[in-house]
Amino acid sequence: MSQDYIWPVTRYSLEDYYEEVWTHCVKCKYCQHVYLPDTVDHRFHYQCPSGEVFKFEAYYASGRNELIRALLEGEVKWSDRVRHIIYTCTICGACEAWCMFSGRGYPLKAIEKLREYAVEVGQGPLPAHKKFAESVQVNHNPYGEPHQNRFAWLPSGFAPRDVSLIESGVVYFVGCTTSYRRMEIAQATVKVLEHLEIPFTVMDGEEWCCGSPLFRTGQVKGGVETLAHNIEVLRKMKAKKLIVSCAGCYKTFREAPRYGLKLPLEVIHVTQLLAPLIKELAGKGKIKLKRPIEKSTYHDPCHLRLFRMFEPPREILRAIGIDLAEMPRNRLNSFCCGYGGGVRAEFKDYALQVASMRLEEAKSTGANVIASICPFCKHNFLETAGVLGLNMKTYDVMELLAKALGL
Amino acid sequence: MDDAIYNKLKKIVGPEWVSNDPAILVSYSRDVGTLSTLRRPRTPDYVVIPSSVAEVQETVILAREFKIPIYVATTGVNTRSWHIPRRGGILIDMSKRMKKIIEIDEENFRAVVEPGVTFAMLNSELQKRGLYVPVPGAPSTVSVVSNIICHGIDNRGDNKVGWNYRQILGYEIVMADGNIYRIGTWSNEFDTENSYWPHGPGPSAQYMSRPFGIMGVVTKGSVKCWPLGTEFRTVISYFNDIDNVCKALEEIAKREIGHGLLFYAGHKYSSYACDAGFSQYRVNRFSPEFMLAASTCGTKRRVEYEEKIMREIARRNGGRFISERFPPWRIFDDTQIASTANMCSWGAIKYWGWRKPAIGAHVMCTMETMPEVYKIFAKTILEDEWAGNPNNYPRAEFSLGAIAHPAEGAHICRLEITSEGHTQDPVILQNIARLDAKLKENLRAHGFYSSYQGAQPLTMNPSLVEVAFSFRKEVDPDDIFSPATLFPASLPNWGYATT
Repeated sequence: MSQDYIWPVTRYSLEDYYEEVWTHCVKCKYCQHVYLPDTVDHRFHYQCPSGEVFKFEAYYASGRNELIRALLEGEVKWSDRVRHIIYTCTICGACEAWCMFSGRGYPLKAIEKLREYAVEVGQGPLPAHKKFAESVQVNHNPYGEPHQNRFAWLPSGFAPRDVSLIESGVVYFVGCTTSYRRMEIAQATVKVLEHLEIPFTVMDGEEWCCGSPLFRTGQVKGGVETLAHNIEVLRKMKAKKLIVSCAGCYKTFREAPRYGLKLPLEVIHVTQLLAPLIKELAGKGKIKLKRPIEKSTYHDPCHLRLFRMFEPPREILRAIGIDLAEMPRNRLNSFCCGYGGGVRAEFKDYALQVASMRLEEAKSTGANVIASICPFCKHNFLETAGVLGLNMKTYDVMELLAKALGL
Repeated sequence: MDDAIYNKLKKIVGPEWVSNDPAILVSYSRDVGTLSTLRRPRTPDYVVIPSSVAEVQETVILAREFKIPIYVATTGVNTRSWHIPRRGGILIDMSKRMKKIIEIDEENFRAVVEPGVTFAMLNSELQKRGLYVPVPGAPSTVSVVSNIICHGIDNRGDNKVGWNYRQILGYEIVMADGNIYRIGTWSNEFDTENSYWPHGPGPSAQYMSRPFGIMGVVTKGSVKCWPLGTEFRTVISYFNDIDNVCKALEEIAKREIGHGLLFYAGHKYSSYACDAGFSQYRVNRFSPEFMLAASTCGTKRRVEYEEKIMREIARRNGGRFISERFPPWRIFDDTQIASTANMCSWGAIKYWGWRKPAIGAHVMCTMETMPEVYKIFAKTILEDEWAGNPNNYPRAEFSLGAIAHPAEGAHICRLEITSEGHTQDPVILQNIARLDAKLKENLRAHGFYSSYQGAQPLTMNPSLVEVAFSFRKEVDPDDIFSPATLFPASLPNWGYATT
């Protein structure tokens, strides 16, 4: 777990990456594979989802690097294929996890910058992504759902404007996907926090989209606007700690300084808060935990991999007695669920294909439950398992914890 | 954009797996070999990703029909830019859909793999069975088949498993006429399933792999596997002078202990471990000048015995053991494991560090003469009016490096200098070219032969080159496999090797 993650390099323009491509990218292919000594199964050796599906080099980080060079030099003109290559990246960051140590390159940031550039020159984003932006503008969420329904899932007794709760300085930022698509995660999170008597509040009607879908698709201006609004509200609430249950929100808030926004509070994932507490309370016999399922595997969300946030959810799963079966690709080597980077909105079949590859790996562990701590991952796995008729249940760690606590 | 070739390729591999889109082609236009040169990126006309030998055959026949060149790419680092097109053509990407481990024959210590299988993939399965294939001084992202056949980065081996190319037991190759040719025991028409021995009854696998150039598309390779010891250890000692480190190396080698042995110039670490010139400079300042890395592998008893002997020899020759007391150096241990014993490239992730334009030379010499070679190299650099003066050109600091590793009956001493500066800086590039020529001239003046890493005619019998050349001319009269420089229309000038 790392709370002091600092962006190792800050580059401001695509031209900076152009320089990097020329001098650093030696096509060593580290960006395509898991960390080599960690290869435990030859079937699960590759780590780039778009490369694994579309196969051509252009769909791996090394190829996209070359595309940056060719676009800036005018060697390649904008086309549907170019946009396809740029927008099929799930922004999982597996490439960068290794490249930053081997080739000293930053392909994830390069592709994010390339998307930003595509928007600047009117070649991006793709239609589904434009809808995100329009909806975020109007409804403050990318799903076109009414803003007033954002907290419809909130238990009736919960009073977010209670002064004592606001004064606690702890705010649970729910996020759009959790609020509108995977409400069970939000409900489980609130139940657990209340059960453990952790005072917290929510932003109520003032919570807007964190901006993640916009940042990931190159629409930085809109992303900054909505993120700035949230930060301003939090500042007025005098919040000291922001709890999130979504990997996308976590990454977006943690990266706020990258976009020139000062973050006046600490951002943590809810599992980071609860893992030590659960262990302590269970150790002292203050809470009783009943194992909800026997065996599960765990999927590391990509946006948390960037921050090396691997252990807290595992500690919770172990604390509640679940037999944790690791997939061959885990932690830094994790393989994307296929949802991210605006991919699912525009290329749904591809997103499901990537998820099916991950589910196949989950199956190889012998578990029929896959746990994670990101609503996007859960959503994609659930749908894919349904479409393929796979006997693989998907839970958020908070749901399993709530069950273990008998909630 | 549709044309006759494109349409036919679509029929062969399926529309999804062929492209002539510039956005796709551009990703095949450059590699590490073009990085430090002024060569412009060059793209193929088509890229195909076949999934079977039949698809490869049909693609080759099509290329022959239209008399267009073929380039073959797999995965990993291509140091010689072989798959970068010279004049358009079809690029066959073998690494994406032909990556099956066909067989692991534990009893006979061999594995049969397709070209897309990397060392990491194969070793991950072999190690479950107590076996491994040596990784030839390259990251484990490289293709087993293509790396072994193309001699890897510098064809290094280790003193227990020998040279890289000796790991081949046989391979299957689609020739320019579309026929399948099997090399080694595989060529036995009564037993095409088994490949135990590289030398026959047909053409020798090793003979075919030695001459540089493309004969065809390799679709399957059989490689030798080695038993994995239960214990593994690396002993690293440090020396202040070249003579002593070579004496220790020689003594250990003559005792026939150790799994892999090599020495580095001490700062060799730093280019891999540092991310900038100034940090490399700092590391160099407190680095002992030479390092001897010796690894051993086997039973616990064997490893303990060999480690004891290695330490005694190193101490006797003035070596010091820093790593146990100086934790920062331990981070390099795994790199040494990769380099010396070549077990699994455990340290391969660190392989590409801060490295910039460099000159290099391979010199074949005995261990006694290695110090002399190194001194010639150092003198060439230090006496050079440009390279010897770090202030002469902004940011042009040079570092000397040397790697020595066992070869056939002697050692290969690989010398290189790295410089700080932009890889495209014409001043640096011109000076590097000049220094390169000067170094070779000096080495030759002292009776040593050097080859640049692009070609290694040193150990190649000229008659083999001639035979291979004639053979190739017969099967590929239209030169579809070797456009331009690899196998030019006339016999290449191999320098002293043919004189």
